[in-house]
Amino acid sequence: MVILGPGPPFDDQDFEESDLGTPQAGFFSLIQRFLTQRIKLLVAALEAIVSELSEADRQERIELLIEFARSLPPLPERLERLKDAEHRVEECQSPVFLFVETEADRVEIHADVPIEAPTVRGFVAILVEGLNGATVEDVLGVKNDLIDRIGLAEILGMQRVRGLGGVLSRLKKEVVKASNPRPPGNSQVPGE
Amino acid sequence: MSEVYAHPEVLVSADWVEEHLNDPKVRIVESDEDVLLYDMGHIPGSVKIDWQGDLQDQLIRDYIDADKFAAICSKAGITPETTVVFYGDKSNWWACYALWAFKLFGHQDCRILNGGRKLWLDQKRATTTEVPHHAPTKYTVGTRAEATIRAFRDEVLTHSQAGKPLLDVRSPKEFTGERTHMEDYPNEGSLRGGHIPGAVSVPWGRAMNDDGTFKTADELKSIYEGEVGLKPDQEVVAYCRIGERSSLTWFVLTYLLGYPKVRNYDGSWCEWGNLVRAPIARGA
Repeated sequence: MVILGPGPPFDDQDFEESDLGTPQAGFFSLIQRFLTQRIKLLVAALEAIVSELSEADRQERIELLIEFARSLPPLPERLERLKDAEHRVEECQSPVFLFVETEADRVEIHADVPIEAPTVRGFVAILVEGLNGATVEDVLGVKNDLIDRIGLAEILGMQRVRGLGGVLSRLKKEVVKASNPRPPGNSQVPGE
Repeated sequence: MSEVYAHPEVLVSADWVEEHLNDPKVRIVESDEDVLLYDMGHIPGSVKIDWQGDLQDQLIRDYIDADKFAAICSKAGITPETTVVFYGDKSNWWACYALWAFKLFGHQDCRILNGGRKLWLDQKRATTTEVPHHAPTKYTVGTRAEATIRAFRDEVLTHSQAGKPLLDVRSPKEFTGERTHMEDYPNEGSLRGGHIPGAVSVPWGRAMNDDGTFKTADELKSIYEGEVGLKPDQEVVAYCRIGERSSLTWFVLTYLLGYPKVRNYDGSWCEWGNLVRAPIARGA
């Protein structure tokens, strides 16, 4: 069992191939390999979406993305009230709100994106559908080339896909935040 | 006495578009930022032309060549005589950008659907997901207008040094240099922040109403002539980040106010803010 937190927040860079030459490389490389194995076993939902999209032709892919965009469930009312700057994904060009909660190492994701920005909404819906109920490690182990793997880069062109990467990075950061126990001396949970 | 636009025919209403849906002399073109929108539903009979996938060269930072442009028009059933009406998302940014690109290739009759995609949908007008098949045409590219409507970096430098009017249409924070990219678009940034010396900040959105339609001629005059002090016969260069927002300002000055000598610097801040030794001013 690999324990990811507490510790320094995970940055996307931690999983880049280019880091393998540093002193910590062996450690990260091990984690990476371990996570890759686990993803294969555990993130079946996301993998199913990836293979469906990657096997589709351009027009089918557009239609699938639109279906995803339309299928994003609405925010629960309790979260609708919390749509503030703190939950807004700054990296993204459209107003994207992400809410991540963890329940016994399982991740629960809620999100809101306007239907006028269907590309971003579709991508967020894929993350929600593919990763809801996955473990913290599963989510952190999703490689940043996901956008390429689902063939979005081909449809969108380089200038448009980069903002989407921000959504995935933000999701990982939120997962780390939601799963990390509070630091010692600050253990009081507000409201309890 | 309220004034009318200098070239009122370039702005068409949703009613006008509805009346011309089956007019063979008219082609409606959707150009959006979000590439999925057209497929979710578009004006019946309209075709999609993408600013990036269709109009830009995929290797060099430039527009496609005349042959490719002719091929796009042919496929869309556009002849050199066709009235092409552009509309899209984001207050018609990309519609104006596509219109400007069509003008680079000398297409004569280009118009904008006032209010764009949002107003059309808000008014619950008809849409379809059916992609039309228009009979291919034989399109010959006419006289190119690049020299009169497009500015390149060296020309912009000369323009700036001569103290001629330069409009920076980005957000105020991009103008002052506080931000090196447009709010929420962090990946289209540049190594340096600020503006081209002598530029005046007039964010593009000042020309728009909240519903995405253009402000009246009187309101536009009070901004660009009253506040900024532009005169119609001046040479003006507008720029933003990659030239899309400034093509909207170019459209406003050229067609709604009738300025004959306005150019869009499409290299914009993504070029200037990365250009070695390019002079930069910071602050308000």
